[in-house]
Amino acid sequence: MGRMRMKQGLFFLIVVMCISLLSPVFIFAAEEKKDMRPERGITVYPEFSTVSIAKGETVRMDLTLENKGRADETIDVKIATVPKGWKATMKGGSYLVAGLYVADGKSRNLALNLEPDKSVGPGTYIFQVDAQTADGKFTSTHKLTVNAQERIPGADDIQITTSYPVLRGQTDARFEFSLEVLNKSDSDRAFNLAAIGPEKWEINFKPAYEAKQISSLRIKGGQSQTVAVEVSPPRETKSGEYPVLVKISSGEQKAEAKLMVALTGIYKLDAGTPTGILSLETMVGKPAIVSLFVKNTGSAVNRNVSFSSFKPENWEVKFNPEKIEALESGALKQVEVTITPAKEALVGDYSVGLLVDGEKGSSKTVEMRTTVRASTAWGWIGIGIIIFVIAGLCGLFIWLGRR
Amino acid sequence: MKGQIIVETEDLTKKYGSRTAVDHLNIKIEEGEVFGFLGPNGAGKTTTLLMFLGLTEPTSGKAKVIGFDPTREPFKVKEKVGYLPENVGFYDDMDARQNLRYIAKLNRISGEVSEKRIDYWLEMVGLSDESTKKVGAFSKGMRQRLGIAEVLIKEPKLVFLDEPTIGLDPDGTNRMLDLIHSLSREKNITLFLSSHLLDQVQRICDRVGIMINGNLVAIGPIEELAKKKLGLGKEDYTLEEIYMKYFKEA
Amino acid sequence: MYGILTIFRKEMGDHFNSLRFLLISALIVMVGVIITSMVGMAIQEELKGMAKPTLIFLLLFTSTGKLFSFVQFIGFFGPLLGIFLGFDSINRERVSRTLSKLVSQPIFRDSIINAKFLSGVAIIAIILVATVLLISGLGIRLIGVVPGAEEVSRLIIYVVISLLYISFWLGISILFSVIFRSAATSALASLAIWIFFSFFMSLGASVLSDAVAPISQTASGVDAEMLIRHERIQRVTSLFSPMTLYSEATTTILDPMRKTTRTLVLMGPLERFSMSRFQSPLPLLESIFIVIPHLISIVAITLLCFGICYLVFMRQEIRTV
Repeated sequence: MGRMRMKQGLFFLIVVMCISLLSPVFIFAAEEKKDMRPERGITVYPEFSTVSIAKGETVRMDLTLENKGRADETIDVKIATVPKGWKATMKGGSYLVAGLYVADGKSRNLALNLEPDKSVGPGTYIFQVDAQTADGKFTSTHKLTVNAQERIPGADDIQITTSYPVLRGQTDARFEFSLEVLNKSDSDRAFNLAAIGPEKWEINFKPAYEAKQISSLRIKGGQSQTVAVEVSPPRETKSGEYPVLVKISSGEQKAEAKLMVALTGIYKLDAGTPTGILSLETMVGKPAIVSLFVKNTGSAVNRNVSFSSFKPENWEVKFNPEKIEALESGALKQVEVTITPAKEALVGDYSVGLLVDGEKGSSKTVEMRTTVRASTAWGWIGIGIIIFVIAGLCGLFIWLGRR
Repeated sequence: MKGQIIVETEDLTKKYGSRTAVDHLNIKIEEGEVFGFLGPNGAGKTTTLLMFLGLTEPTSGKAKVIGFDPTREPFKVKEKVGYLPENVGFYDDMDARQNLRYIAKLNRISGEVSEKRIDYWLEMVGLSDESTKKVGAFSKGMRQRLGIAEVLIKEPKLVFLDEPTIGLDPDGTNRMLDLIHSLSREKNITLFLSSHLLDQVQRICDRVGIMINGNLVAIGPIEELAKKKLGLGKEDYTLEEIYMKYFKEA
Repeated sequence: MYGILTIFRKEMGDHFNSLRFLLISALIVMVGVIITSMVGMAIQEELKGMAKPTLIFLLLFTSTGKLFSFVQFIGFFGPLLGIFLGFDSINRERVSRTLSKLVSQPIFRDSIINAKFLSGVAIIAIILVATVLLISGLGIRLIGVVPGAEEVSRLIIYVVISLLYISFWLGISILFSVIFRSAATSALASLAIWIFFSFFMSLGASVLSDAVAPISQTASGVDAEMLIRHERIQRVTSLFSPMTLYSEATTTILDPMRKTTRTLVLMGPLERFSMSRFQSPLPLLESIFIVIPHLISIVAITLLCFGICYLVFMRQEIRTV
């Protein structure tokens, strides 16, 4: 029984606590019902009362008109003081506004636009906004101080970063730099993209991961965007290092990024027979020698040019020399290829692939159509057997047939 | 009379099953003789000849031909004995010379000798002009003459002629008989002639033997037989009469 | 011996002069050459770029190509060749009355039959050797493969077996030419024997084996024991056919991959595994060992046949000539 009573007591305590917690709300609600506002009263104030801007920048902010009274008011508003060289406008929607209606207890916003012209130098400029009710009985004034400052370099500049400013590659490759453009300023901006490279080079800007070419882009204030710079050097360009200057500008502000393309030249090989004939004839088991030229048609020195072959089973293909240490661009070298068909090869046509492998995947395959003929000796022996048989039969015929 | 015995038999008997083809034949032929062996068809004349050549083995009895037993030494006999079978055959697709050459070769006559003999005998039988003709185109008489040449190519001592004139026209028959006659006279060849053409036998034979049903019923010179059987003198008989007499008796 | 030689030469001349011989040999040579050209070209096409398979040269003879192989052709046509060469050898002389003249010459009587048989064998040998040589020459020219010593040996053995086999049929036909006076009868009799042994024998073999060891389709499939028995009976019976003997012997000799002359072999799984694992050609000597019974049989039947022929001829009365 005692326990029961304790429980009841606890419950009661919780109820009381809840009520005591909620009681201020009830009290406040009761107070609001009783309108404490003055009969009439208006206020005008801008969003910020003092702002600092860079010189030449336009200040944009909201201007709030508030009806504090219990009656609706029509409020006239004007910018009373405009420093010299500035142009101040108030807009509501698309209109320039000089007066507006504000219901009781409500407030409305206008867009305040303060635009300096070029002559405006750094300094402190004070604007005053006046508001008064239609009957003029109530007024409100607010001051707005704009501190125009000299530009601080970098403070609102464009920053370009790239992880890989130097790219190496063959002349016939495309180089794609990835640039991150940071709009350091607060405002959205359009950036013009330009690049200066060696003559005849093709330089294009592209959004990252997109194929379209662009010449400008818009970046939101404080944000960054990646731009790809695609550089295609002309084929005949010699190997070496070539700078590419990327310029990004937005109005007065400019940024530059120095990119470097290091061309290694083209790795390309050509091979063939001097006569252009890609067939040869040989006997079974007898080696045939083909002269193969290897030409470096690229613009880079090709080192370690090696040879290999794709041949029928049991065939032997030998190269002399077995490899070329270095082949200058445009240089021509002759290689002797010895193709030996298998001893048991049948008469017929075979394909023997001669592979020339250079650096950086430069390779060339020359397919030789190899006609294997029975060694003439055996061919003649074959014919000899046939003739022998025919002659033998004829001899027998003459010997036995004539009596 | 003329010299040594060239064919001699002693109870020569040949039986085909139960039929006796030759029954105890005893005959003696001397060298250089022309012997006529007479008898009807199926009397055992050819069988006797075959036994002489060793081509058939006698059932009993003995024969001696040019001094050899034809059963034991047929080779020796055949070397020196010529045999012209009845209706002799030739290799028709070969010419006369080739046929002769083949036989000459089988008789081991060397090339030069055989060519000479071939020329000689072709001349003798009158076939020189036809020597390169295929034998298939030969007439019966020509074949028979070629047969004679073939037999004589080996220069035999003894020649068995089985019906040499059968199927020949009268002219051919006469020429054949003349040839046979001259052989005996000029070459001293013993001739053993089997025939049933009696007038021909009478013309050329010194002696005759008459065989009927395997039995030699008479043997001797024609005059002797005529005297014995007909009691007639020379010129007054024909062999046919003698023969018919014996035939009826048998 | 002298007689044999003379008759032999004359017989050879006869053969060479006869249109029959010319036609047959021309046919064999022509067919052989055509088959070989076709097979040779097919081989060249097929094996291009491949390593040389073992004993490719023999493929010229055994490869069937579009129609049949040369070996099959000889297996079929060889007996006919033998029959054509012999069916009138004795009775021709008898009909033209040259036989009695011949036997009255100073030669041994058996010279005639020996020489006739030998000349037939020689003619067969000439045709076979010439054809095989022609094919070899063509093959060397066409596919450029030179036969090795083993291939040549195998070919020689093949020619010898074929010679024996065809000689057997020659003997058969000469036997009939001794027995029958009419060439047509003897030819027909030889052909009948040939057809019987070549075609009906295998039929008879299968009938016999079906009767003695029928293969019953039980629920558990075919009884392997029974199948083998059936096969054995069929095989033994068909071995009475010279054609079977010959074809088994030659295919084994010419195809070194064949390890047995049998067509059905009872094999354990391990055995089969090792068989398929070691698919290497048999050495020549092994191949010969395998076919030695066949070879002996062929020699035996050929000799037997000729022996009978000889006896019959020697015992024949000239009188009946």
